[in-house]
Amino acid sequence: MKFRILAFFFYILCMHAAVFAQVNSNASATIIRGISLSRITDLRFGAMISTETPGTVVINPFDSSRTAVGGVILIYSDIGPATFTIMGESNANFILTIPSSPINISVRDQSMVVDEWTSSPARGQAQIPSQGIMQLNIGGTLHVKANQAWGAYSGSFSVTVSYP
Amino acid sequence: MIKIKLSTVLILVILLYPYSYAQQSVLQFANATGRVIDRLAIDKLDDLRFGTIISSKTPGTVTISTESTRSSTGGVTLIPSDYGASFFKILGTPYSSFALTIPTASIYITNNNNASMEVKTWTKDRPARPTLNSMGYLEVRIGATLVVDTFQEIGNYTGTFTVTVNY
Repeated sequence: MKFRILAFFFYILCMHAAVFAQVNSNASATIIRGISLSRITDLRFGAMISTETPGTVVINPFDSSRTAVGGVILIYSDIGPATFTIMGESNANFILTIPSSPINISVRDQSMVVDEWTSSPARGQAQIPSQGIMQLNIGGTLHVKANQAWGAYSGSFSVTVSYP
Repeated sequence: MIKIKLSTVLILVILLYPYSYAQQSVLQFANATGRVIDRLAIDKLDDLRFGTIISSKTPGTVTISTESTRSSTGGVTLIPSDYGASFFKILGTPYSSFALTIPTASIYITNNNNASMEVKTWTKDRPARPTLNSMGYLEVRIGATLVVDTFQEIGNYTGTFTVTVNY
């Protein structure tokens, strides 16, 4: 008798398991606490040819445009500001820190300087919109020396977002 | 007794959850990149891909045009797959013209069993001396014809060809 009851319960359990298997489904949600910052693209000055005259290449964070001054010739390529996604609590104020000093980007033993960092939104205090998500664009100025050696130059910089 | 314990644990988890994931400050890195070209550069974006085919007792050919269309002759069956022309971008001084050289002779592509197929009749969608545009840019696509033998051995066949640009 005891065995029968156990067997019955086991049967019920199996039935439930089968039913649950049929209604399996996924529900997903992402919970963000505090503030998050994720990188989408790098800051890309693109391709260029250097000449006997030094020059600069500027990436504008507002319209993602590229302009050159001096002896540098711009070549069609993938260009644009560094882009990030910031997520945080609606309408919260936060502090955005972008580089304030120059960095070197380099290849082999050659280097170029990137400085005059600009961003949208501007550095300092900013506000997360009511949707809780916003895009951050960062631009800068690349200094190309006269007869700059050929190569794919790269260097790293950091960005910080924090609640005050 | 067990019930109480379980609910206590659940309550603790719920209470602790937000705090264990709270972040008040986040630092991220990005790269700054720039490419200086030595007057003329060529980048390969796509290989020449004849795709997947079935051979039969009748030999045949597969041709990839510079518009990335695929056609066959003879006893070859074309199977839906990734195929297309080889695609290059050329960067250099705006408005400059240069010599573009593609293979003229056949090459042979081989599988890991050393069976081979001939690739011949190379075509390109640019003249022998093309000119770069105002942004120093030009795209070039290259096609060819693959010769498939009677009962061509199965396998992945690969080989290399060279494209040269020169002022």
